[in-house]
Amino acid sequence: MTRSPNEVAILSPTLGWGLIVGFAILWLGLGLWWGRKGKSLEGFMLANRNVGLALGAATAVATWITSNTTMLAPQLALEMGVWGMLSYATASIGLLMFAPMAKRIRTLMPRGYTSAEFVRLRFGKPAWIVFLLISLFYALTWLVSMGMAGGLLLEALAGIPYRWGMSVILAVCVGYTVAGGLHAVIGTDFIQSVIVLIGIVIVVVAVLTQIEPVAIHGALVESRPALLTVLFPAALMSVFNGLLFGLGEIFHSNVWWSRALAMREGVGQKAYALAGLIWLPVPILAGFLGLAAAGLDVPIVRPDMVGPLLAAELLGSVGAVLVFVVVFASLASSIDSLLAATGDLVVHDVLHGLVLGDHDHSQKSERRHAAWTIVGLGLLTWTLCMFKLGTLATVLFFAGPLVGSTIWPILTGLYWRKTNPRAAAWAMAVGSVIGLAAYVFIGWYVGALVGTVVSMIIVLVATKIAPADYDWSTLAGPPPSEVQS
Amino acid sequence: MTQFSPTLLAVLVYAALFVCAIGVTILLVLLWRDLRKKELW
Repeated sequence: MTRSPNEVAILSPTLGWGLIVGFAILWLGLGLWWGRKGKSLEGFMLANRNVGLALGAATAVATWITSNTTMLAPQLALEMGVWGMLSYATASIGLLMFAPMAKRIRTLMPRGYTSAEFVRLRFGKPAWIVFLLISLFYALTWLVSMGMAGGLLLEALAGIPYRWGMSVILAVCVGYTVAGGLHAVIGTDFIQSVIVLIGIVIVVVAVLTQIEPVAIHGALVESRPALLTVLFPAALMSVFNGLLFGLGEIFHSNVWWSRALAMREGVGQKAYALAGLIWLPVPILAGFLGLAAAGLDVPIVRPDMVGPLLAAELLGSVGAVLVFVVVFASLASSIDSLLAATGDLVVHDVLHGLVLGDHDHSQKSERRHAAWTIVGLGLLTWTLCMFKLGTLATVLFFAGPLVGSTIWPILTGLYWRKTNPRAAAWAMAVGSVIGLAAYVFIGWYVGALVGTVVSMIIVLVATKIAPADYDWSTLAGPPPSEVQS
Repeated sequence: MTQFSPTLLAVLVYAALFVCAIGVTILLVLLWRDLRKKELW
């Protein structure tokens, strides 16, 4: 059964707008306040490389939660049952495995700025360009999926037209990210992570007071027994796909590298390990809402809105406000992080690396360009979000093969002196193409898996045939902008 | 066909709830510690 968004809206548009305005004032105010610390390039992009454990762990939790966890985990549970929510939970392994990498990144690149800068110094220009294409495409995909999620949320819960809701959320995030740089992103992430974690606990407890997991299990046995099946082949494949997607995303994305570089020495490893453990239960709880909706036969407007709609249906207007606040916070925490980290890539690697080259290396101009780039990225995302490109799952999983193909080049690049640099470039390019073919011809649940395996074979075989001998100290040198400013 | 048991589902949900509550408590305690030591950022 399906209904139009306005038929299921539980909040009035006035209340919805009131909540948005309240959050907008809070985030923008904090962005301006913390922005005073980010006058220099290093302050704006990397929070002066001095982030402590509390903020470091919370920013990783908040960024990894994203609206994809609060909205997509229930959808996966609804479509793939218990395995669906467990497969999403495997993404926490990415955070746990990145913990020691964060320490190594900070040690190898004490003056580094971006993940692409690592690829350039480690593997050379061809790999750098392939990596930039993958990284920027993925970041944009993620940003668009977030913007769309924001518009859909406001439309479904408060009857606010999709385009208005999406535009306002993007504008607010661009505003405070430009005003405060990474300080604003990380500071608001702490508040947002606490809001999301407390909110999801309250929603699930409230659902449990009305219906026990055992009763939901009983209802599913009657109505959707496949969701409880232990041997569900597509779902089992999705577990591996989810795991590899998580690894690829975290290993390559500048969102995570910029945080590793921004954390104070000795903090990164602890912060990411802690974040992995704190994040782990979130998709299970969000997925449980999807299973509960299936068991209770809750009317579904769109599969990715099942969690919010169940909470609103069971808990009334209080539940609707709570879910609205939780998803709004999780959206903002990811959009701001993506804007900041992708802006760094565009400015540091594309503009000042590829385009301007030797013409302009001053930190002052890079700092100025960084702010304008965030505005430009926001506008580009807004334009793409104006066309609804499909459900969140289809948009996001399309990028799975691309990020999967970066896992081995990054991993071996960080730890293995012998890794062949040309093989790294080919592994990312060929892994992406064959992974996308698998995505199209077999299914979304194998795209990342195929991309990762192809990339792994290329890196290992080519390195075995023609090993390199890399000098790690190359990574520690100051970037050109610092030398010449 | 083998299915996940109701007990397993319940254990999964209650365990996740417990870990989530502990997680947010840890974050708040760490914030308090970093604020006191002036090591926030």
